[in-house]
Amino acid sequence: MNINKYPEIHPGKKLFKRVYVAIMLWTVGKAIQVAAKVDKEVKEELAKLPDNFTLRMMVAPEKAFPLFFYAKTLPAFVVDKGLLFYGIQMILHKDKEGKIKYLGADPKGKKIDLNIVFKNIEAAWMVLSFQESTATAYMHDRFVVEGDLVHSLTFVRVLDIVEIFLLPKIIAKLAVKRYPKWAEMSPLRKFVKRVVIYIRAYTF
Amino acid sequence: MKMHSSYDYEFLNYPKIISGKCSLENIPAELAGYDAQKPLVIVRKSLGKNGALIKKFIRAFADSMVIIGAIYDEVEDYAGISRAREAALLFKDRGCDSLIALGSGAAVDLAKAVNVLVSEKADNFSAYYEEKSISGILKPLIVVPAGLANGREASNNLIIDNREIKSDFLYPDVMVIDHRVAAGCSAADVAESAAIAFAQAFHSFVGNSGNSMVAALAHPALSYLSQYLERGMKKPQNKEASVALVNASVMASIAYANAKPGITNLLAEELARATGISSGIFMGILLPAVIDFLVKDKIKISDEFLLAAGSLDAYAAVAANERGQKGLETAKKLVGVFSRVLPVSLNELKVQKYILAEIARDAAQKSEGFFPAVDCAEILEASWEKTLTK
Amino acid sequence: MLLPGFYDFCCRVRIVSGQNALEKIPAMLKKMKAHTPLVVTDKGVVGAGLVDVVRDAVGKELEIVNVFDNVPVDSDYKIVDEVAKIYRQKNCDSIIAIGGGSVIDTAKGANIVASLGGETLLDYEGFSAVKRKLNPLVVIPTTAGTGSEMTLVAVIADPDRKIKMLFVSYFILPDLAVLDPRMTKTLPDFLTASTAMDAMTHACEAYYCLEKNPLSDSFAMRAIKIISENLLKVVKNPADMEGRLALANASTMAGVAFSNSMVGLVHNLGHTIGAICHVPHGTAMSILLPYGMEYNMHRCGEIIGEILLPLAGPEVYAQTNKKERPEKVVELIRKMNNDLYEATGGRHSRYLNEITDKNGAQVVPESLLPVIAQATMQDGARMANPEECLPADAMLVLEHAWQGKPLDRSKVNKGGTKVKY
Ligand SMILES: [Fe+2]
Repeated sequence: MNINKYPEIHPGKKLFKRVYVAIMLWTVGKAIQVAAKVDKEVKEELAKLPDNFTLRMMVAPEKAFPLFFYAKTLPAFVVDKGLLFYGIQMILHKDKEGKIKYLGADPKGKKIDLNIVFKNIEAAWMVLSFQESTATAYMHDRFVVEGDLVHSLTFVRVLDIVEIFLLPKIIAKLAVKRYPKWAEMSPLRKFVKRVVIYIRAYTF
Repeated sequence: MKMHSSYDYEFLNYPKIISGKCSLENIPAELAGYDAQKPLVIVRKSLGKNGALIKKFIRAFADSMVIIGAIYDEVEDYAGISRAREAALLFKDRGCDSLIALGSGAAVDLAKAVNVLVSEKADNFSAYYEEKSISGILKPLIVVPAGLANGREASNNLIIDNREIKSDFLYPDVMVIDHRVAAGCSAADVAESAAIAFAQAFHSFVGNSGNSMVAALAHPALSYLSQYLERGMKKPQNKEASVALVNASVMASIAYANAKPGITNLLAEELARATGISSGIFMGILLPAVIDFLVKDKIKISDEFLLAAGSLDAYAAVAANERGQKGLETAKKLVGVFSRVLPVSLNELKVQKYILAEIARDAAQKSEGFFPAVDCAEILEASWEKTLTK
Repeated sequence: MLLPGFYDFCCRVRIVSGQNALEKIPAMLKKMKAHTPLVVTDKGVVGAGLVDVVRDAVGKELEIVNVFDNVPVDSDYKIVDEVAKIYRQKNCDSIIAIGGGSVIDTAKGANIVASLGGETLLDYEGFSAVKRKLNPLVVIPTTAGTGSEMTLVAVIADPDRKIKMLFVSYFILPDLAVLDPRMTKTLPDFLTASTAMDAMTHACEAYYCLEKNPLSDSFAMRAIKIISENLLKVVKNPADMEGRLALANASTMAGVAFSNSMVGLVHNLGHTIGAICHVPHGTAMSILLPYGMEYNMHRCGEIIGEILLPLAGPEVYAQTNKKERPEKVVELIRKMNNDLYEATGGRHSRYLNEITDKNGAQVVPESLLPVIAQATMQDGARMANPEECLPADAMLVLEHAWQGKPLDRSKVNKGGTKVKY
């Protein structure tokens, strides 16, 4: 048998989806940071997390390949060291005073308390392009949770609220189980929060 | 205390099933669960030639830690020791730690065989034919069914060089059902695979009507066959139908691994051995005769067959004492579909009439007296010549 | 039968069932190359003489000498570590767990440490820590309800950090589950009732919650049928061994269904009430099941209606108008609870305000309902429920369940699209 007839295969990479997911995670991280400041419900939800708490959302596998190649294709603000060396991540930290801060994508030297891991890039893509709602993705085992499950529920709830703020109704309806009626959340609140969060997320 | 409790059984449903959208992309995570990241892929030659399909398959591993050790695509309809040795060599040379069978049938048999060679450090199978049992857990094996099935894909046995090895360690670890590879085989392949699945599910259901666990597995298999067979044969490209039919085939083969052999399967296997034609073709021919036989002899089958093969409403609409009968009618109608693309009689396949008696005897013997030789002969007789129009 | 867009299913536990299933253990262990098992159990099981039943059944073929019977009701990782230590000291090569949920979880945890080495379970936290086959684990459930013999999760508390650690891996699954009616024979009638209703809840929720799939459906349907045909019979006649075996089977089938399909609101509320007011799990399930169905009816009424077939049989199913089926299901579950209430002399509770402790004191005070409603947000079962359930929603359900009146469905918040499975 000529063994060379059957070469070893190194499957490639999915450039577009990686860039998209990285930008979306960055947006979500920033948006949660802002929403925690401006929205009472988000603030209350996040208050349930312990202080000095670090949360990470990432796409498996960690540290798969340095992203030097992608650095040029990404907008400058998204490129940070974490993204280049550790793959796609989003780290949020709640400090002693209870303030939420987006810490970028570099896990080095940080103790991660809650780790939410998309099993593969395709899973992250489906969730972050709203083809699958958070609940459906959870049902389909698209991500796994490391750490206290209770905190991940808090995070998922925050994610739902932020999605309702940021997305137009027609898309948000796909992303959450139940789109709030007028009585549950007024359109005015949605609209004002949407504008505020977008502006502040992209400027600060 | 009743002697024959319907809850007296032993049951194992080993393989994990992953089915539907983006199933292929789950393979790296599944492998990682076994601490594996370098699989050897064994592909059926006909699929291996399909460049677009192989490309899609490899693409599913993009952005993961998986390196594909090699894609071995020399498997045709027959799994033999020389091919197994070649693939085992490749496995060792590349430092692989797991196996993926892409495609049903012989590709799976061969992957299982390679797994025995590399995990048990064996060079041949002669010891395993003679009662030697596989000593322990084998390397992780993931099966991605596609194309013509032989009913052993999700099961606990393999056939290599026409001899069978059976062990619960031979169950694959994961079955991955994805339309990107499952859709698109010929209508005849769909029908033949479905005939096997039907025979396995039917006999698991009917022969073990007391064992609720086996029935629970066979039930969705029968449901999917009755819902999707027509569509799957008409449009083999249809995503939903192809996924459903492969699901049926997987569930049926796990159920059957827990059940007593069925008369259709026993006869078909004997016929296949005598003629070299694949057993699925014979199952398609025999099933109508087997069902006629059950109807004629008023053999009671479980009411729930009608529930599985029909709908909830169809089942509830029939009076209790007619459900068994109605179930058989439904089954007859369902297996009638095979005749559109598969041969309808043994005669058509040029099976010599004089061998039928011997086949009936052998099948009866293999059933350990469960099916008398006269019954077997009667079914064969009825299948020899048919005037069905295609 | 519905074909979901995506599903996964795994239940790789060998099941041995029968009136003489226990007798098969020695041969099965030998097949797994195990000879020296450590029995893990609790004082209650030993007190009921069940370890002796097993010992007699396995006879001379397998001597049971190592028994750890100190598993508390809410086990933690320290117990797990202790079990693993004894396992090593006594040179055991396998575990036989005899008991309910807590015992089974402890055994699963101990098997991790005992098989993979190390001193403590804490080393194996996280989803990817267990990556190879563990040593043989045999489970003999003594309640027909929890279904933990079929789940790949072990929940073990860490009292220092006050958290519940979750260990999830296919390797945690037991190798063998043994279903023998002798193990549930001494269960008092009201516990038979409530544990079976727990299994009923597993099956029903698995059938209509979001992760439903063809195999979980098939197992769930069968479990519902068996429970509705046998439960009242067994409660009235505790010596009905065939009925008990049937219930044990139903519980395991429901376990197969829900470990692959997840549970929803009923368990969400039930877990929370259990944690805050110490209501037994099965009791909470029996009370809340009809409400869980009512709450979700506008999202998946048709699916809930299908449950009528196994619950009441084909005749009733055919006679009931399609639109009325889901309500009929709820009505029949309520009737079942009532029948059990009567058959157990009132020890099977029907409403939250009816639950009393040994001294006759009320267990769930109405004043605690808002606290419970808030805390439901902290339970994982909320994810799989078809309809969103926020504290205000939970409060609505709890108030009705407390008073024992059917849910006013016009008050349920709506606004989601049709559930896609
Ligand atoms: Fe439960």
